[in-house]
Order: sequence, then C-alpha cells, then structure tokens
Amino acid sequence: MFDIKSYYPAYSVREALLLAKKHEGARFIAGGTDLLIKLREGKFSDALLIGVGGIPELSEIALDTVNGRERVLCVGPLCTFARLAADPLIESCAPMLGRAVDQAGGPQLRNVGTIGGNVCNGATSADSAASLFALNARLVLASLPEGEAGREGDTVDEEISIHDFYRGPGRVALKPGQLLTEIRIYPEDYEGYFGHYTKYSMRNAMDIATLGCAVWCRFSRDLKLVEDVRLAYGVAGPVPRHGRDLPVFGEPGPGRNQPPGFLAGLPGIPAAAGGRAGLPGNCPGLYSSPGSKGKRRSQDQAGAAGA
Amino acid sequence: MERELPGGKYWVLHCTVNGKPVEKAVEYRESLADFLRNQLGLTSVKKGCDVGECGACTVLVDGVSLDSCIYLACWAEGRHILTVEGLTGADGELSAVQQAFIDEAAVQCGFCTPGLIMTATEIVDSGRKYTREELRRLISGHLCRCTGYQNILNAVEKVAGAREPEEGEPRIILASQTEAGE
Repeated sequence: MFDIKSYYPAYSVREALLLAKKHEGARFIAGGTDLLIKLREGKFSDALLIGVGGIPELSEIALDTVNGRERVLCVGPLCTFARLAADPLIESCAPMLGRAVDQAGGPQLRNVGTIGGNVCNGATSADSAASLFALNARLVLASLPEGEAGREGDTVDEEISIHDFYRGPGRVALKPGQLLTEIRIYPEDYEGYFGHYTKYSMRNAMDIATLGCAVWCRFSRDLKLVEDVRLAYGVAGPVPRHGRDLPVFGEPGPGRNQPPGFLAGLPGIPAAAGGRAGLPGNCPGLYSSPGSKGKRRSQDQAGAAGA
Repeated sequence: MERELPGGKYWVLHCTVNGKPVEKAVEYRESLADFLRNQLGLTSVKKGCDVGECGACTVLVDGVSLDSCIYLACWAEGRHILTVEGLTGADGELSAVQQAFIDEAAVQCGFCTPGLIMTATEIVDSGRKYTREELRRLISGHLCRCTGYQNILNAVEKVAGAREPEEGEPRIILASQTEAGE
C-alpha cells in the first residue's frame, strides 16, 4: 500500500485544475514512476494525488500551427517514453529525443513513464532533459483564470522556455495549480538538424545517468560550414545545462563557421563532407559506418508502444 | 462509472484478469501487485523490490509489460491483465514460453521467473524475430541473481525465434534500434 491519503482522477485539463484548486497541496500524477517510488522512499507522506493520466488530449504528437507558426512539433506530456522512442514524427523531426528517452530505465518503465512527468520531476539526470535543452523546447503551462468562474473550457496558458523551467534539484517553475499541457519544438530548432544523445552510466539499463550529453548540429546545404552546434548536459550541474555558456561557443570561436573537418573527431559525424547520410534529422548513429544504410524506424510500430 | 465514496479512498474497479471479468472495490493506495496478489490470490506476481527495479512483478496490461508494484490498481480500469496463471492451457498444459524455460534450464530459484515469462510472452506475441543483443535489451528490466541470464536468453531465443544481425547492421547499444523496421 502506498501512503496515499486521497486520489482524485481527472478527465480533462480543466477538471485537473479545479481539483488542484479544491485540494491544496495535491500533486498531479501521470505514470507515477517517479512519484510512487518517492512515496515508497518516504520523501513525502499522506499524499493527495490528482490523476491526470486519463486526460485524452494530453497524449498527442503532431505538427501544429501555433500562433501563426507552422510545423511546430507538439508533444503531449502524457506520451510514454516507449511511444516517443517508436513514433515516426519524433523520428523524422527530433530523433535524438526518441533515442534519449529510449535509454531511461528498462522496458517496463518506458511503457508507463511519461515525458511530462520526467520534465516536471525536475531531476538534472532526466534522460529527456539534455535533448530538450538542445532542442530549445518550450513548455505550455495551463492554469485557471484569475478569480475563477470563467466558462467551461477556459484555461490560461503560459509558454515558458525549458531553459527557465528547471530551478534547482527537483524544483521546476511550476506554480501551484499549474499543469504542463504541451511540449513544443519550433521548426527553427529542428529543421535541418541532426544529433545524438549519449548517456553515461555504469550499467546498460536501469541506471540513472552519471552524465548525459546531447549534441545537435546543423550544416550548411553545401556541407561546408557548421551553421549551428548545440550542446546540453544532464547531471553536469544541479539543473541541466546548455553548453552555450562554454567559451568554445563564444563569438566567433572554434566550432562556429568551421569546416566540418573540425568535427571529424566526434563519433557519428561523417569525416568527409561528402555523403548525405545523416541529413536531415537522421543522425548517422554512433555505431554505424558512413555509407551504411542506417536504420530508420518503420511507420507501423508493434511492440512496446505504451499508452 | 466512478462511484466515489467520500474522501477519494476507494474505486470500484472493473477489469479483465486472465480472461475473466473482475469487479472489485480497491483502495486508491493499492498497487496492482497488491491487488492481484491479495485480492485475487494471483501469487505468481512476485514482489522483489516494490520500487520498479527488479521486474519480478511484471504483468501484461493490454499486452504491454509493466511493473505492477508501481502501478496503481485503479489504473487497470477497463484493461486486460495477464499473469502467469493466465498462460495455462485448457487442459492445464504449460505455454510454449513456460516449456522453453524448463527445457533450457532457465529456472533456478524461480523468483524472477514469472516476470520474465510475462516479458517473454510479450516478445513472442510481437511476432518478430530478434538478435540476441536485442533480446538482452528487451529483458533488461529484469534482475536474476541465479542463472546469469544465458539460459533465459536461450529459452527466449528458442521460443521467439532468433535472427542473426544483418551485414553492416549497427551493434545494439541504443534501444531505439530495436524498434527499427526489419
């Protein structure tokens, strides 16, 4: 038995927010793979939980038009890690993210754990974190309008950059009564990019990262120039870190506007700027040789596709 | 559908367990493992760690393997749950997965076995063949202190069908490649 005082299932975002307002101190729970373990460890007790795992509109993955911007990759926070790892849209726009979350825990955990829960848990070691930082992800937080009343369906949405979301170990910029409802990646942050997430850990599975590193690059069309390189780290500090504060990416230091030869030492990047393997959105892969076909996920996924 | 008693403590759960419909009041505090073991007597579901690390409590929910010790019983509403007790044939015969575990000496103390058998059942039901490296990854949510895993992999290979890695195929380190289209 868990030390749960009360549990309230919500079936819409507004219901979840109303329940949060009614039950002060209640926490939202999705897949529970962080919260329930924390309860077991006694990190908190007498839990008041609002179950958001049954809210249907929070499980979608789509390219949407947002505020007039087209092709924004919108990921619902209830998407499980298994589903993200297998999803064709993630594979085509941000494969690094799919492969990153595919390394968390083990298969059973990935079938239940959600990306929203992973982000809101606020751990610097989160396997989604470094990739989301490199992708400049933006988060949509919903809350009830001030002074309540409001019509059925009314919520107030705030969009915040993931760079501003992590505040300290286990702390995120989520106010009481706010619910994460969408993770957005804008086209300027994924179109033409390819990259890789490396998780350093003692074991090949079931370990929390000792260090996570995401690299996300864009070359010029003629493959002669590196137009952008993004580095992000998990576990390298109390919150995930973006490498842009590293001196190597200062103005115009090495790494920017350099011929690709500079990157030849890094695994996975083609040494010669000849092949098109790896562009766009399909990292050559840490373990495939240049010129190999490279595996792409098939469009119809069987297996552990999760919720 | 929800008949909530005051205080948000109970849920009347409707689900299917090993093919049979079940209607039971569960406390929200109960894990699925607690429910299956204590309320339904399905003690094939083992508690090895109670924190989702060892995989001994693995069951299939709508065909998908998960750790029942960190899954609330109320989340099973409307779902199909399968445990080892549900693998028995009409005449009491063992499933092909179970028989393979016996034939390949993949069982020593037997405590990790039910969870692994459920994962192996999911692997077999996917209809695909896997390399040994892919299989290692697919059972990586299970800990076994006795066998050293080799005979378990032999058993799963035998029943799921093994395939050799293709020429030039990347070695599996990244999980995602397991999902790559064949």
